[in-house]
Amino acid sequence: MDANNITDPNTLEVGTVLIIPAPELAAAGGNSLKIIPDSELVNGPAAARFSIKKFIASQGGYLNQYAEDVKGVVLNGADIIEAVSYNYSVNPRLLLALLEYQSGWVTNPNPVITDYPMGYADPAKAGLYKQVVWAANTLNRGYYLWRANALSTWVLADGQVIPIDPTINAGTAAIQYFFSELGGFEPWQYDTGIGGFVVTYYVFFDNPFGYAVEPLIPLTLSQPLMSLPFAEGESWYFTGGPHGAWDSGSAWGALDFAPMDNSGSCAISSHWVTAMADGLVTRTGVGSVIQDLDNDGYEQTGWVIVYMHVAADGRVAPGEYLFRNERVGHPSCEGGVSNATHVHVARKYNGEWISADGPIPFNLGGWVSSGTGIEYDGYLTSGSYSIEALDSAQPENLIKR
Amino acid sequence: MSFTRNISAILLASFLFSCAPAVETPVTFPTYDPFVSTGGTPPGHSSTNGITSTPAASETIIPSATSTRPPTPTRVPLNISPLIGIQNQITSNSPTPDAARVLPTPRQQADEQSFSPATRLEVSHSSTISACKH
Repeated sequence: MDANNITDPNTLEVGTVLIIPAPELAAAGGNSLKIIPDSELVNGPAAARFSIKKFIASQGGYLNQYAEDVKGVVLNGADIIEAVSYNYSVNPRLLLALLEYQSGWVTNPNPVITDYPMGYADPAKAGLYKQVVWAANTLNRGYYLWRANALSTWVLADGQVIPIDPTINAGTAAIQYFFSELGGFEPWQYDTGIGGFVVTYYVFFDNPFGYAVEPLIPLTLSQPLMSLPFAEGESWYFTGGPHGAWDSGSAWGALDFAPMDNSGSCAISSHWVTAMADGLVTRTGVGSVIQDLDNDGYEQTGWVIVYMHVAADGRVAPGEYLFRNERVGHPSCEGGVSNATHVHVARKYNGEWISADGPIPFNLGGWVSSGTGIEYDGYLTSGSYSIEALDSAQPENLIKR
Repeated sequence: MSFTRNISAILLASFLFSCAPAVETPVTFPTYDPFVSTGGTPPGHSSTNGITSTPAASETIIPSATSTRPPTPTRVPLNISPLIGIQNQITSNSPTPDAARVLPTPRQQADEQSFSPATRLEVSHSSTISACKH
């Protein structure tokens, strides 16, 4: 506002040229303390056997007696932590330690009750569920932006810009980013330093590096055989290139496909989403189907496919084993926010969202995904033939299997 | 008067009797040999017939677990801060820093953006067919 001599922060005149000053970096650099390994950020192998319910009950704090109506369903504290950790693929140990550090809700039966137990005081994000969702999405954003080498500075809540220490890891970047959203330099320095959040983590779970699974993503990792998510002989529109696998903070790990009968509406399609690979269905939710390709029953390990916006009617059930090309369910608008019938597919490996425009792109029966640097924009390429994702139903973005 | 004397005699006799030495018992001391009884002969190591038996063969020396008698001990809340100990652990457990990566260069110059009726101040996806947010 100072740079543009703006007095009213709510109004801009058409034709105004906004000057966006170059950031002034603070002299002090960011912390170099590695707080957690990468595998403690994701809901990965080291969290597969962690019992959220038992841990919360053992602490006897306010969280253990908490309940909240979430979209018409009453969830208790453990349900909320579990739902968010699974959906966002963020480690429940990390969410619990952050919740304790920020508000004491895990151990204190009579904490200072606040609408913002994660410390993010936004009236639109009041209540435990929205606070934990905000935390998980924020942690993911820091983690995956660091993974993509897209960060060089933290912009703290008070506007200070500090250079990031280049020796931290992605898990630590996630926590540094989380606290950058909440305070100025001094509290940030404390929270991310040796006397800050990491102490709470130690008190709860001991040394986080004792849980390290490294490498979380092996250098030689390759995607198993996968097909386009619809039946052979059918044509669907490729409507979304690489974009957020779950909410806006995760890797751009998802692609969208829309059946030909949707006409831009939210009517449930008569067509079927089909399994992209062989695997066990471990979980279904509102619009979601989770398929575990290593068949160990844990979506925290190995390759996992997430199908989203699958209608409840006709949807596969947890515990069923699907071979490639078998029916998953009908595409719809169910789950999340969607403005037209389609299916959204994403992949995880060891709990980490795998980007569709990164070193391990989707290979769907020979169609390989790529991105342009703009979310939702991208291509599927087979040999010399490429199809660009379009926000519409055009012959150009029709892809035949 | 005689009644008082009798009482005094009884009390005196009781006092003297209580001070009399008891039957002498051997003094026992703890030993660091787990197979040596504190009250007598070490059974596995010096049997009377010169045959050394294995400890497991002697029922008298196998300790049996005993259950904790009530009331069950409970943890007392710590009244000292574990912070220093934990910080020492954090320091000693802190792994080797990653190799410094080359970070993107922060923007060095001011940027300009013209505000027109179509300008949006947030990055958004104006989808008509499949925008989704979960």
